[in-house]
Amino acid sequence: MYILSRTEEMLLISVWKLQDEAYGLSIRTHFSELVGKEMSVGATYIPLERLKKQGFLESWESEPTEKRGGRSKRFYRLTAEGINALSWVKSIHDKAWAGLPNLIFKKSE
Amino acid sequence: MSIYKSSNVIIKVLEWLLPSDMTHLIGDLEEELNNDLERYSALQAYLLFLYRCTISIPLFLYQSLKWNVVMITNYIKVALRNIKKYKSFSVINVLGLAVSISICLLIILFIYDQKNYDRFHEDKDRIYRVTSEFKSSGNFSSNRYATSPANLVDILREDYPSVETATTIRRRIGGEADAGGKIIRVNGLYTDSNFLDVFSFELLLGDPESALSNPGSIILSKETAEKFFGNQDPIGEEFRIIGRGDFVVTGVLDTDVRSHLTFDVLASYSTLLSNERYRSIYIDNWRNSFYSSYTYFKLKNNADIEDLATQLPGLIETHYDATPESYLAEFIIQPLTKINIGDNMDNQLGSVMPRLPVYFLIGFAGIIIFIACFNYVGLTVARGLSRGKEVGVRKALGANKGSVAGQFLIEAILIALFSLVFASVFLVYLLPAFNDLQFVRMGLARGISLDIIKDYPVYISFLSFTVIVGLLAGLFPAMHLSSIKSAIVLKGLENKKGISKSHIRKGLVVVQFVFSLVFIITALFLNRQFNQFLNAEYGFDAEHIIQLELQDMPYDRVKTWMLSNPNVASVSGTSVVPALNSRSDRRISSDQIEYDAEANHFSVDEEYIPNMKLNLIAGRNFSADLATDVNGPFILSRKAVADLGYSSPQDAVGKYVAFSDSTYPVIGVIEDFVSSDITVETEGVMMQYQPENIETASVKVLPGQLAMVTKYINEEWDDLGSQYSARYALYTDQLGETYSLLLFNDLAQVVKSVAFFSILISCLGLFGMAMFNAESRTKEIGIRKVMGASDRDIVFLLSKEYLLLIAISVLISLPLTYLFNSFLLQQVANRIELSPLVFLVGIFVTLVLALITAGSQSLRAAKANSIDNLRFE
Repeated sequence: MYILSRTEEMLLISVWKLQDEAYGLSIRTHFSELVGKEMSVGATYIPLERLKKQGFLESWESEPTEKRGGRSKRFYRLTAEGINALSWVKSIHDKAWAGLPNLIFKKSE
Repeated sequence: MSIYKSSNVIIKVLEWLLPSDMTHLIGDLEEELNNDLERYSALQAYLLFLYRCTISIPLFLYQSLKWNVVMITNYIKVALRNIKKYKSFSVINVLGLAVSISICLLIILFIYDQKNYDRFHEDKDRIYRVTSEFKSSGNFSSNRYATSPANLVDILREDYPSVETATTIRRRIGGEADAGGKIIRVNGLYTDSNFLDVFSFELLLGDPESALSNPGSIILSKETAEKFFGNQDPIGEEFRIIGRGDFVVTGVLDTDVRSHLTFDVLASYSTLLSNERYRSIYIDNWRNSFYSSYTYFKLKNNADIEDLATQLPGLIETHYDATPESYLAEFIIQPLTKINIGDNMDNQLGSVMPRLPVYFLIGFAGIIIFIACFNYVGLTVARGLSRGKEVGVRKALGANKGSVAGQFLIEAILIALFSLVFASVFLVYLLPAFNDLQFVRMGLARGISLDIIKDYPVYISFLSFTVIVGLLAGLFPAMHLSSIKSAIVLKGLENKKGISKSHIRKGLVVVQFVFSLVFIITALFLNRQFNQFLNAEYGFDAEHIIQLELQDMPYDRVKTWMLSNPNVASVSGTSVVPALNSRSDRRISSDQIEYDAEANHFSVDEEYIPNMKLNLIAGRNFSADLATDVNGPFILSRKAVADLGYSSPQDAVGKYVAFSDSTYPVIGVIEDFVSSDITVETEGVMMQYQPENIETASVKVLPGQLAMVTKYINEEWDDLGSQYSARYALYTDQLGETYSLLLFNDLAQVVKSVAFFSILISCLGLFGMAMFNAESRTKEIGIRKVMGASDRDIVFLLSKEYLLLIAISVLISLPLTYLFNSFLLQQVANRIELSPLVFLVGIFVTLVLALITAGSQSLRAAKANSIDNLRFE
């Protein structure tokens, strides 16, 4: 099975988190907050579209609003496949992290 | 504020750049900007916005590129399908455009070739030529000469620090050269050793410093060196130019370049200076030196040419005295690269193409390309009826006007590109015909060869020209078809728009045929005019006359020698052979007129008038028995008498005429004859009895004995003791090949081909239109036939529309043609009448061609089985 890249994983998580409010700008803002640095339009839009093409996401356009200069929003939503992929990644994560010795180094005497 | 504005601009640019399904991205940016505006100061918000846009630019560019490629690929796909689907229309369009494009390619090649003259010089942008403007006070006319006084070069070199180096060129050294055991005719120039500093001709052999320093030095072109010496090293060899002196070869120059300077040899200028007599007459006196000397100079790297130009009027004042008679008014500096294609000047050096014929050719090519574009517009708009549905569906599915228009433009460009392929093939056949034109042969050092197609600017200009033609042809159909309202088309109401469409189509056909008619009739007139020149009355008898150049032989000797042949009837001598375009205008005046008159001066012997069968209408001929006739009295022509203000030829006889600081009596008057050029109005003629000035013997041969006499000349000339070979020609041959006649023939040929191509392309368009018309009326024809209409009725029905269009074209073109031709023919003498018959012939030819093309389609439609017609679609 296709293992998601870290960016893709973060984006899918953002979309899941935002639920009905998941459109271009909000995803990007959320994503930027998650990783702690400003992401460019290109850095979010391209992976989003790729995920859409792979069938993990679907999208629809909203009615245009005044605030956006008369332009519509593109909303994203996870598909069943997307949810599967995400939970599969999570299970791998959990498996990989389970039973590891403590990462925090003990101060040597 | 400016940041705010720039953000608007950026959004506009992005909107234009990105495909329409990605506007949500711009929406995101704008929403974020609005959010930021609430949170931060305006400045901060806009800066943030700019930052975001900047880091997103790679994405936007990529998307724009990707989607445009996708769109264009789709356009091309649809266009190709359409081209395939409507084969006959495509063929008609491609053929018409190909013919016209090939003509334009030819003109592009021609201009490119001409514009590239003298581009190989390293410092071409700093090299200039000094040309002169002469004014004459008598008739206030001014003349521009390519020449300048011989000593100007020294003044430039010494007094003008901004001049890096300057060279003088003096024409003309030429004649038969005797070297390496061969005698071949060569042409060349005199120039000094700075020549090689100013210009970048490559000296293949010899020392550039000294090659042109010493008297008697000569540089040969590579070609000339090979002609005389083969593969041997020519340096140090003797090179004798008969009648000019002995030279020593000091260099070999590569002349295989495009330059307006054309020469076989370059002789050192010091050769001229070392000849004291020549120098004192022709070089040191600037008025005499002026007509054959050329001054070229190279400006220093950082100097300003304008500075130099402002100093030149002062130079004229100090060095070149102004006399009221005719004076040097101005020096005009001409950049080297502007010499060809350049201003028309007297005494041009080498081969220079004047602007006027170039403009004419561009004009003709432009008209032809428009006629072909009209075909495309007409046929595409006509077909628009069937493509209206396609447009409707596209629009209903969300295509905007721009993308539909883009689709049609791409289609037009594709058709044009297809045409380019065929045009290139036509070009191969057109080029030799073009190179054969007289003005091309005279004006170009070398014909245009297909080799220059190797130059990439030629490729690029061919391609971009083709794309422009495609855009031009496609623009109107694109605008027209993209404005179709989808609702109306899809409801099937398209015919309402059809009315305006057919008006456009008809208008285009009319314009095409107006042009075709104008050209066809003009071509017919020019052809008639040319024949008129050939058969015109010259005023003398040129039959059975051989013009034999004396060269270095005395006239008496040649005369006796020729008369000793029993086949020679008589011999006479003249300084100038009439009607061969050589002019020897001199000023004469009488007490009857205020300003000087001009007349062509002939030095003749007493036999000339009877020998040429010139008609003496008053007074007497020169007499060999009267010593006072020599170098004295005049015989004038009727025109010269009138110009001098005398009331009649009889009145002039015995009067004294002022000429060159003296006065001479008029002893006789002859009838006018063509003295220099058959294409210009009759000019006055003055004759003096000056046997020592005779340069050509006019030998009258007994009828049928021409071959015997030429054989005699060929065999016996050498025994006379001349150092030159015999030079003679049959006078009637010479008269048919004068420069002005050949040029006129060029014009006739060019107009003839323009007429041919314009009627060809117009008929192609008409053919397509008739075909379309017959097709779209298939059902109607079927019903008419079933109801009992005959084939003839149908043909008439379908053809009468075109008949009407041609009739309108005839009505419009008649006055145009009349005006155009009377203007054209106003420029020449010995005019033909604008006979109505020629108009009728032109109209008839056009009409027949148009009816054949339109009628063939109508007939095909009429002959078709009406059952099939009714089952159509």
